Amino acid sequence: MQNTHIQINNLSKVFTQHILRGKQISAFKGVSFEVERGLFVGIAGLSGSGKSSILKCIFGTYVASSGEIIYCLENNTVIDLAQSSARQITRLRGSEIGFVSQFLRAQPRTTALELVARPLLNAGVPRPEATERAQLMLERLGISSELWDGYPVFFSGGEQQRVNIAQALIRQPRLLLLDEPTSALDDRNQSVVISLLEEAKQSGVTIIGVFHDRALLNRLSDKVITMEYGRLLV
Amino acid sequence: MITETAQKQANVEVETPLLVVENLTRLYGHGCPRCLELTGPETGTNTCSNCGTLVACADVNFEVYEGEILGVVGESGSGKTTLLRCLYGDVAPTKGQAFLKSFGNGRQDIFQASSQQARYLQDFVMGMVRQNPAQGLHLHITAGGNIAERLLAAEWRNVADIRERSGALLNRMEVPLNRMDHYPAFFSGGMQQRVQIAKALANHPVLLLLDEMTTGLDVSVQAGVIDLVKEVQRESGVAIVVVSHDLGVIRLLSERTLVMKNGRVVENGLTDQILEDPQHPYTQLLVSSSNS
Repeated sequence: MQNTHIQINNLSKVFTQHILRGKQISAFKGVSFEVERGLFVGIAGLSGSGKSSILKCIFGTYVASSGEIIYCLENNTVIDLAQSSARQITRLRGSEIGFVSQFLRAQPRTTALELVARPLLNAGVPRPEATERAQLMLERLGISSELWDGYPVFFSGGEQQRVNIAQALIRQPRLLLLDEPTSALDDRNQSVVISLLEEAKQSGVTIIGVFHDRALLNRLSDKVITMEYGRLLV
Repeated sequence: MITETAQKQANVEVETPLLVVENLTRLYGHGCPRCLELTGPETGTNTCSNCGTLVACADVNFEVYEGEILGVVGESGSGKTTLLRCLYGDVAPTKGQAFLKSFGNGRQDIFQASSQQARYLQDFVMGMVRQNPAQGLHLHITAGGNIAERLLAAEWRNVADIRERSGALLNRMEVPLNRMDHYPAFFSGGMQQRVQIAKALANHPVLLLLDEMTTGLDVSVQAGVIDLVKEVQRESGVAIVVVSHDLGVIRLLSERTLVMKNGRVVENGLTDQILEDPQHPYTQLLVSSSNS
């Protein structure tokens, strides 16, 4: 147990739609698994099987309906994310837990470079260093320098996705949640992202990832778990 | 077993909030024992059917932490502005207490402050940006003069220093310096709001209250003001409570959000949780009606 980074116990998520006369939609049910520090666990399964919902419950975007999300902090304190306050979660998001979604949420009037440098600036890195590291990251991801001072709203889907990844990987979190981060990328960019993820893993980041591409999932993951109709296949 | 140690949860939360608000209640009217039970989201009104009292806010509890932006969202009449006005000392609450970390060691209720202390809180500890610029600014005193008023309250006496500081604040809020000696009455709406923010920030407050600051501005101007607020927040670390009926504004600005309806807080959580997995029927209605 010493090495467990995150342990999901009997986690379930049901959406109750009060405005549809209390209609209930179950996302997943009774899911349990654990991830050791520094490992890459891939979640496979068809669309709608509850993969992303599990990630969102861990990140706090969804409220878990029952079960536990036991998380081991950097200082070895253990907390249940399913019971943590919103403030606790926002602090963890700033320091420990990163999420890469499929889509970029562009901020108005914020350039690509600024967007990528921001996590570093928020962590107190001086601006010149933050800017330089952001430039290197964008360069590696093949975003040409003429786009750096452009607004990502006007970028192509693949460029937006790479800005999104750059933003998440620039400051390595301890736990990285990936929700199909490579779906809009061509092969060359995908392999850059893969090598970035492998580097992150090498430096000790624990990763839970959802990918549609089964070959990619097998290549990256130390362990693959499969979801079917909201349940974990054993 | 790893689970058992989760009991330690309480030990992790050692952070003291900047502001704690407890049971804030404001009634307009005589009030009767049934006011609270006859109003609220369940009855869908904030007027007591027994005595006609208006329940603007009731039993509102929340915390604001240092350096964070807290959103308050809800429809018109849900009590958002009353909440801010009580905090800023414009109106006295009927019931409740609030504690600010930097005031009386965090043990003195700001609602019980003397008028002198209340003045101090308004001038040095908090800043307020009002929905209507005519309430937050003297429209027929120059932009620079408006800011100088705050600085004078903080005992700035040297005219050159005052002009320099006012100019720097206006410049930071992207108000052209050649407008410093003009009357805000002749400014655009977006510029008036930026002058208000500059004025509110003049004495380095620890808490900034923003009341519908972008309502009525067109989207491009709105985006500019929102972005400036975020930048200023990052630079100064000021905590912000931002009230808006616009979920788009809340999404861009705040990490945590309270949802109000008929004077009550019906939901309180992470902003992305409120938007993607709303729990309360009213929040679900609000989110499903919004296109942001």
